[in-house]
Amino acid sequence: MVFSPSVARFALVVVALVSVAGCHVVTDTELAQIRSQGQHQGPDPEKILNEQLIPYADKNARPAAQVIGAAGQNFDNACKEYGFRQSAAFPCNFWIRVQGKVIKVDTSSRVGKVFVDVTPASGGEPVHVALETGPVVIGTGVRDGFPGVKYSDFDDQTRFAVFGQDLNKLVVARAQKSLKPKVGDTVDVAAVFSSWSEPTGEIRAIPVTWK
Amino acid sequence: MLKKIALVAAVAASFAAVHSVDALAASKGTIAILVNALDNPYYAAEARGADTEAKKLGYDTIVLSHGEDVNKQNELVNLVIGKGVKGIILDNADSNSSVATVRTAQEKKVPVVLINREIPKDGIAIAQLSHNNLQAGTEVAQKFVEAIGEKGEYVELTCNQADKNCVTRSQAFHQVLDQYPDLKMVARQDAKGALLPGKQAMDSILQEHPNIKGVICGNGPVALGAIASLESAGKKDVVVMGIDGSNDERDSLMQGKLKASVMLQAQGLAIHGVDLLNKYITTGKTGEPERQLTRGILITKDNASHVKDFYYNK
Repeated sequence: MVFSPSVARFALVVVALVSVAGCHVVTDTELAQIRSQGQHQGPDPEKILNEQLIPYADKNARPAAQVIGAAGQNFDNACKEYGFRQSAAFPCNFWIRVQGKVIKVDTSSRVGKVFVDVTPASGGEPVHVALETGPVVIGTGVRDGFPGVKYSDFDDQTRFAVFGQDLNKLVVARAQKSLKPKVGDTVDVAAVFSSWSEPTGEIRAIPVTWK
Repeated sequence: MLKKIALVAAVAASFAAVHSVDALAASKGTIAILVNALDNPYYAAEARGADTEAKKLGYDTIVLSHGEDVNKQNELVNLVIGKGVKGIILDNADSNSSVATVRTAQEKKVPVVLINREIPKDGIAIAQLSHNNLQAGTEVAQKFVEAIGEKGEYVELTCNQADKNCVTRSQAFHQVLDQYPDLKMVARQDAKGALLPGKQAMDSILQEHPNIKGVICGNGPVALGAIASLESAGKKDVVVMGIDGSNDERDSLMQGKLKASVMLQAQGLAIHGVDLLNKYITTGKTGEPERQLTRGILITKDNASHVKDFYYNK
C-alpha cells in the first residue's frame, strides 16, 4: 500500500498530537523536584542556629584550658568526655568557653583571628586560642559539633555542605556585628574547635555565642 | 548478543572456579563484588579489600568489572543473582541509573551494599558507604590556599563531571576558594579523571595562562597529568594538588612534585561494606545507619610514606 506524501504527513501530525496529549511537559524546576522526591531536604540553618545551636553551645562549652589540656593528654578520652563526633568520618568537635584577655587581632588574612590568652583555673601558663572571626572561617565545626543535625537528615553531601556553609555565614555575620574585641578587652565566648588528633600548634576555634 | 554470551561465560567460569574450591572448604556461600575497572588502582584496591575480607569471613567471592557501563552492570547483577549469590558489594556505574538495578536485587531478596557511590534513594540497598568527598575537597582546598596564598591565578581540572563524587569535590573546592576574592580561577576544564587528558588540558591552558600559581585537581591521575605538563614546560614552582592517594601520588609527594592529596580509604570502605553484608546475611540487619561517610586522610610529603594501596598504615 502506498500513501501520498500529504496523507502521510497528516497521519504523522495526528500521531504526534495523540502522543503529546498523553504527556505532561515538566519544567526544569519540576524535574528537579521529581528527582529529589523521597530525599531529605534538611533543616533551616537560621532556625537551627538561633533556636537550638546557640543554646547548646552556651550550655555545653567547657573551660578552654581544661579541654585543650585533656585533648593533648588523651585525645580519644577527651573526645568522649568533652567532644562530639558524628562518626569516624568527622573530626572530634569540642565546645570550649574562651574567657580571657585579647592579646592580638590579626586581619591580614581573610581568616581573621582574635588571639585570646586563657589562664587555666588551676593556674600555670596561659593557653592561647585563636578565635576565627571571618570573613572566612575554616571547617564545619559549627555544624558537626551539634548532635541535633546529622548527615542522614540530608542524605546528600552537597546539601549537607551547603547547610554547614550557611551556618558558618550566619555565625560570621553575628561575630562581625557584635563581637569586635580590641587588644586588651576581656572576652567570654563559647566556641567550637575541631581536631582529628592531639592538637598541635595553634588552637583555632569558631565563636558561636558570647557574653 | 555475543557480548551477553561472553558475560554469561565469564560469570559461569568464575562460579565453576569458586565451587571447585567449595569442595575443600565449607563456604558460607558466594558474595559478588562488582566494581568499575580492575586496571584502575583505586577500584583494584577496593575489590582487593572486599575480596580479602569476604574470604576471611568464610565466603567464596566472584569479582567482576562493569567498566562504568550501566547496561553491563545490570546484566552482571542479574547473572550473579541467577547464580544464587548471598549478597552483592557494588561500586555502581551511575548513581541515578543504578536505582533500578539495586531494586531488582532487593526484589529477589539479594542484599546489596553500595560502596563509593551512593544512589538517590533510601531503603533499597542495605548500606550506602561513601567517602566524605566534601571533607576531602575542603581539606585540599585549604591546603591549596596556604600554599599559593590568598591572591593570584589558579586552574581547576575536574575529574569527571558525569561522576557525582567529582562534582562534589569540585563544589568543596569552591566552597573554600571562592571565599578569597583575590584568588582568580583563570581556567576550569574536565580532564575525564585520567592522566593523559589531564596533561593535554594543562598543555593547552598553559599556552594562555603562563602565570598561574597553582592547579587544583579532582583526582590523582589528573594531578599527575598536570605535573607532567608543567614539568615539560619548565614550571616546577606551580603548586599541584589532587585527591585519591594512590601509590603513584604517594611517590610524587615524596619527590616533592605533588604538594598534597587526600587518600581515600578504598580498602577500609570495602572491608566495612563486607562486614555489614555479613552481619545482614547472618542476622537480618546491619545495625548501622544505611548511609555512612568515611573520612579521607590529608597526605603531604611528611606522611606520604604511610600510604600503600589506598591503605594508611599508622
